[in-house]
Amino acid sequence: MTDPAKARRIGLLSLPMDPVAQLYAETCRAAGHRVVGIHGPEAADGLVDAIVVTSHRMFVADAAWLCDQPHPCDVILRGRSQLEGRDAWLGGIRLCAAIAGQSGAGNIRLRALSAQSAAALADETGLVVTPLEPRVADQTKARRRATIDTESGVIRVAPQPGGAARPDDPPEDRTLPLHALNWSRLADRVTIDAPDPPDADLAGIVAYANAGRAAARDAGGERAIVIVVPNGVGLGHLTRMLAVAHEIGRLWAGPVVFWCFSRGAELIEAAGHAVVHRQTAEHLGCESAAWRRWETLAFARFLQSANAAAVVYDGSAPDRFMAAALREPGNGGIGFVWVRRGMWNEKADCAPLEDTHLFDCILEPGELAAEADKGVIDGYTPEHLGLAEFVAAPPVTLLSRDDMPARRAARRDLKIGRGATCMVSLGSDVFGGHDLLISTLIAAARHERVRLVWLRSPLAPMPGPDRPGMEVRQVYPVSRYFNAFDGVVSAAGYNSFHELMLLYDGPVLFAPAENRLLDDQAARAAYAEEQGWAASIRSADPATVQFEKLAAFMRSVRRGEGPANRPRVANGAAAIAARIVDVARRSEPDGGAR
Amino acid sequence: MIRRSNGGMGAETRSSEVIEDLSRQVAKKGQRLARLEFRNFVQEIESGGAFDLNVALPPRLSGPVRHAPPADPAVARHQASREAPLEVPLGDIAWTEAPHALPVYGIHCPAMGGREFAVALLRLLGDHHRKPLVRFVFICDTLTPIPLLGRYGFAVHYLGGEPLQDAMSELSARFDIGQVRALDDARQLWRRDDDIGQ
Repeated sequence: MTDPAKARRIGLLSLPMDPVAQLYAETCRAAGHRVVGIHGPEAADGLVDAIVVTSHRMFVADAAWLCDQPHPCDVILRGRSQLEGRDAWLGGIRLCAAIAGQSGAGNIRLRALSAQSAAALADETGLVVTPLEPRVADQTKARRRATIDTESGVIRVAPQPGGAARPDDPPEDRTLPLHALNWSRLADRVTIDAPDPPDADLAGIVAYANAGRAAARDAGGERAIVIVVPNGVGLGHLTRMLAVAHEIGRLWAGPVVFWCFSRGAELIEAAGHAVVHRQTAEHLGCESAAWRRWETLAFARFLQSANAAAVVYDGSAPDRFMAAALREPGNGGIGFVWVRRGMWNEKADCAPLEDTHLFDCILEPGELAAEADKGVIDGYTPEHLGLAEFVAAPPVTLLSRDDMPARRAARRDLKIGRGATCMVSLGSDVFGGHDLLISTLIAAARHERVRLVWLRSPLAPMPGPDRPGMEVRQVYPVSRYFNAFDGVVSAAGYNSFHELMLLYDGPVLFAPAENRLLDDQAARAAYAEEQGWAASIRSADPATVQFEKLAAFMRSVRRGEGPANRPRVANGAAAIAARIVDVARRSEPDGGAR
Repeated sequence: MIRRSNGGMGAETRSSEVIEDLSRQVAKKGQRLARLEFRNFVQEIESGGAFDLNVALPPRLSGPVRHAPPADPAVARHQASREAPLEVPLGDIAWTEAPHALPVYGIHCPAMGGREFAVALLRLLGDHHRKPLVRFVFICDTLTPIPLLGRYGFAVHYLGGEPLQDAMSELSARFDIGQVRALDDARQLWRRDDDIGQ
């Protein structure tokens, strides 16, 4: 393994999303060098040991400082693109060669992408240039074939080789936009046919890419799996990913690190995972395009310093800073996974599904109420599917029954005495959002002599003084204390629903939050009621009906009667973790197994 | 012509009066909201539990604090140097007519007990509420104050084990921070070369 201290620092000067920079950077990293994106003369002052300029045009534009700086500098002469006239291209190459030749330091070397490109350049210009070292070929790996359609700007990917298409593979070719993925990541997964009509620059890039994937990385140190947690409502994404991170830890030697927009970052740290806390443009009240540029830079740099093997996003709308950072040179050896639960509301905005092609794998945590899923996601076909695999897993919960203290200990921890007690958990909203329901709930509980205790997220604002008839406790995770209660009134978000149905035996009444644009809580609650797993109440019910339902429920709480037919399924966290590790291992030299 | 001209001027005057009136209303509303938020903030911080997370993870899911690998400060500085700084919020507890004209200070929050945090924050943010003179980015050694500060609309940054001096290579450019002061005694911990503040 290369000593990182001896690794050369290579400054890459390139245009954004330049495939040559993406491919070359991964080869450098595989050889143990550090790659730094640079943009000006100050980079030469102690930041890098060598500079590679990925096109002659870029060199001409920055020649003033490149010719004066002391480090070795390679300039890659590019072929003529379809949009460029022959004379203009030839003029550019000759100007570049002339400037390089006059450089006083004599440290500028002209390179071609391959021996073939070098020969073509010699034919056209008479220049003798050295080809780059070919990328290392991994002959063992089966790759799908892909063709470039320059007219429509897409790559068409043929079905899986060997004729054994997986069930998620449609029979027709899949597509992805030409520059959607880092070319190093693309070359690792497909063999690309030369473009038609011919474009010398693109043909040169394709030949360089096809020479093989970069050798396994030798950047030193363990590789990390990076989990991105968005700023969702409540702690659902964070909790689900904590469950998955724990399972990843059983399969993967490197660390799991969170890039976290939730204010609950301290919960992640308490679970023993490193966390980088971030704020969104909305948090900061700043312009989102500017914020995204900063986030892309920081995330791209972080992925390199963490030596990331995979990025996992749990949420419904992946922000594009992640894909942009993965396109940065040096980040081409990183897998990308989207953990996306189902049960989207009919009113949900499906635009984020158009990003499907950016991912290697879409993992769907299971849903006990799947039969009630209105099929919003399945009914939507994104324009591009890219190379994404679709995998379903059983439902995910953070805890198992073994993690939950028995009734007496749980009551002691929460300072709850004797008597019938019902837990209330209606999400992170403040009391005001549930005002009518709360009043009816308190009245019904009082009528049936049941004590109410609201268990809230510690991130929710401190509640005001207790309402008469409703005590408040703030704790995480709420599910740890289910056994303290004789019944539960809860919202029907993914985590609460599955924790209650899989970990709790007492009576449950769901009061779905029906103002959620994405999550179809009402369908989940109605399904549970149809199955006899739980009761439910709707905001549209008249107050008298709500009172009657709640009073009937409180009577069942007093009797401690829960249904016996709730499902029993394995926790899906392990299956999701295994799939994530599988994606991460595609670029892991030693398989990452313990 | 004369009537139209007079009418035009009259209309102009009326519309400027409307704009002034609207501005006054917005200002009043902003001040009222800031007062309300500050009252909530004081109530939270005086409750004694503002920083309590009450984490009850079972032992198998708990672990020691680990830190993410830091980025190379020299690379961060170089890459940040071409980006325009982001706006920094004033925080919901304060109001001023032109918040974006105020300079940005970093406030370093070391690891402290909840009571110490409460006292120090109340002192600093009480002054900020009464007369905002700067905007703050809270640079924290621990994640403890982040839920509270984030909830009241402040910019925060978690150091996660990174030395303050290293973190400033990107942070100063990201938020245009002129200097960093300590939360507890306001001593200056870092200053940008071109900062002219005291």
